[in-house]
Amino acid sequence: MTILQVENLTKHYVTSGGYFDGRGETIVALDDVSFDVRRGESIGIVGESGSGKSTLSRIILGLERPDSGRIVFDGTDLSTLSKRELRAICARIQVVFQDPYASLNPRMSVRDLIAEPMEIHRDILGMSNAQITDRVAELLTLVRMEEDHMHRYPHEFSGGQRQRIGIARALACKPQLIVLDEPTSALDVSVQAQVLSLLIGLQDELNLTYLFISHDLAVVRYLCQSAILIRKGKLVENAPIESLFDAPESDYGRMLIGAMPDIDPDRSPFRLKSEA
Amino acid sequence: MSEVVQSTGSAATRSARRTNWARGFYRFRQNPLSVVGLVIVVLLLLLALFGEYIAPYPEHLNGELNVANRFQPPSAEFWFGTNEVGQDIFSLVLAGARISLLSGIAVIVVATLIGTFIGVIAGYFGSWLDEVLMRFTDLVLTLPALILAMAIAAGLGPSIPNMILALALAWWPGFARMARGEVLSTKAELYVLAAKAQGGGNTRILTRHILPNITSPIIVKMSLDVGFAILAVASLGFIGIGVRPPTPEWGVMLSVSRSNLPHFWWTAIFPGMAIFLSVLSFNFMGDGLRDVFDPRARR
Repeated sequence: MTILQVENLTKHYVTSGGYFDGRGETIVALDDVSFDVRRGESIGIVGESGSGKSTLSRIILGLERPDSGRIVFDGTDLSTLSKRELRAICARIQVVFQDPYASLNPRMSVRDLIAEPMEIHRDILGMSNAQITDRVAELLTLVRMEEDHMHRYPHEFSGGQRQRIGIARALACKPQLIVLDEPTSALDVSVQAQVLSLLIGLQDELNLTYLFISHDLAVVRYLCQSAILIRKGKLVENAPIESLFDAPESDYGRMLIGAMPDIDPDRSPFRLKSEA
Repeated sequence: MSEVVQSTGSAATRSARRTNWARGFYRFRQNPLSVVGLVIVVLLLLLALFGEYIAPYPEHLNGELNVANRFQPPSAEFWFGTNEVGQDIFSLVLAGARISLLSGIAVIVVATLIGTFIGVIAGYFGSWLDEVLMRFTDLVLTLPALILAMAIAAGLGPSIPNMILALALAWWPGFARMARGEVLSTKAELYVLAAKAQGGGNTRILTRHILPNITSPIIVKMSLDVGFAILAVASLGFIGIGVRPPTPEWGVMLSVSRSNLPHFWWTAIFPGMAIFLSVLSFNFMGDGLRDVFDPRARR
């Protein structure tokens, strides 16, 4: 069953021109991008810097409006909604950002950070402060942290712990779709693995759908059932993960997969020519 | 760091707010100078409130003269000596704390409110509103603050509230520019984007995310500026706008005693020391407050 449909999404940015000529340059961030996401699935969105993958996530999160095309979430077209209705949808689509240091307000305690989405959507959830605090404790346990941690501040935690606070915050309103914007790329490799396995565990437990934005193909392969490749705003490939890795259809896909370092040293792209 | 963590071991049983206060005070104590500053500021504030009741010669505060005792050097009887009309300088300095400190603080509080409001609105909403508000701020900033305050005070008529208003109206642009700059950098932070992505409105983002993160530079600037505002109050008193003799005020006392220097040094030294001490202690206290309000600023 489809939870998210992205149809013919296009977004241009116009850079501000100089004082004298007044004309800006047009940058195509997204060009006619369409794909579907099934409920309970993880889809990887892979592209290099500047490919438009961040723009895509910002549009899905409602932070920006597309120039044309539409996003259908669970049967409702987001562009037809009023501001109030769109706010209600925000509770069901949540995000975990790449940088766990910058995405948590340093002046807020962990309790307030995780409680924030519940306070914002209090009109929908109808929770009292005590219920919110209980839910924060529950969420902290869910992301394998301790209830006591709720009285501390973000700077007292490591990167992996902060990212788990970010995940707890994203889970607070029981969302259906979570946009993971390179959630592990700022972390150590060992911590990455912990966070990834936590994400997989949560997905099974809570029946979540992940939109996993990354430039790390190995991580995408580990977490996702299918992936789309974006380059210069265009969707170049949309395939199940195994067929993407076994037989990429696009040149870009072949290039990306060819560039992946292999565990087998004989097949590594970094091997010396003489050894080949 | 480790002490902070240990001190909150039983945090679950205490309220989060009390824990924050305890932690804030812990950070404040880390710098002994901040504590010294705080103690002196508290003493000065107590003097500002009760100084005239503990003055040894309260009659001198109402303008009573004792010409027979003029220019007595500091002694057990007159701790800070006496001035050209025989009034006890210790009593005058005690009583002067009220006008000097409270008007200095009032000027800064009013200026901060005006300046922060304008700066935050300009920085957060941007576009034409920013342009209009900041050009107006620049305009006020181009006028010399003391001259502007003189003009406003002269227009409003000489009284202490008018003097405070006049100084505040000349003082706010600095706060507006600083607040705008802080808002511009804070609103680009990822946690503000995160709040927007969760569906948070402008009010929540401003009050929960932006204002708490710009308070520390504002508080530091406030505590620095209180000292200068005390000086500005004294300057206005010197040129006869605002506080006038015989109302005891440090700046007025200092300017009157100029003609007594260098022979009767105590008439100038003690009011001057009072100004010096208050500027210094507000500075020290400001540093301590910054440590409390900014968990990221670690030494």
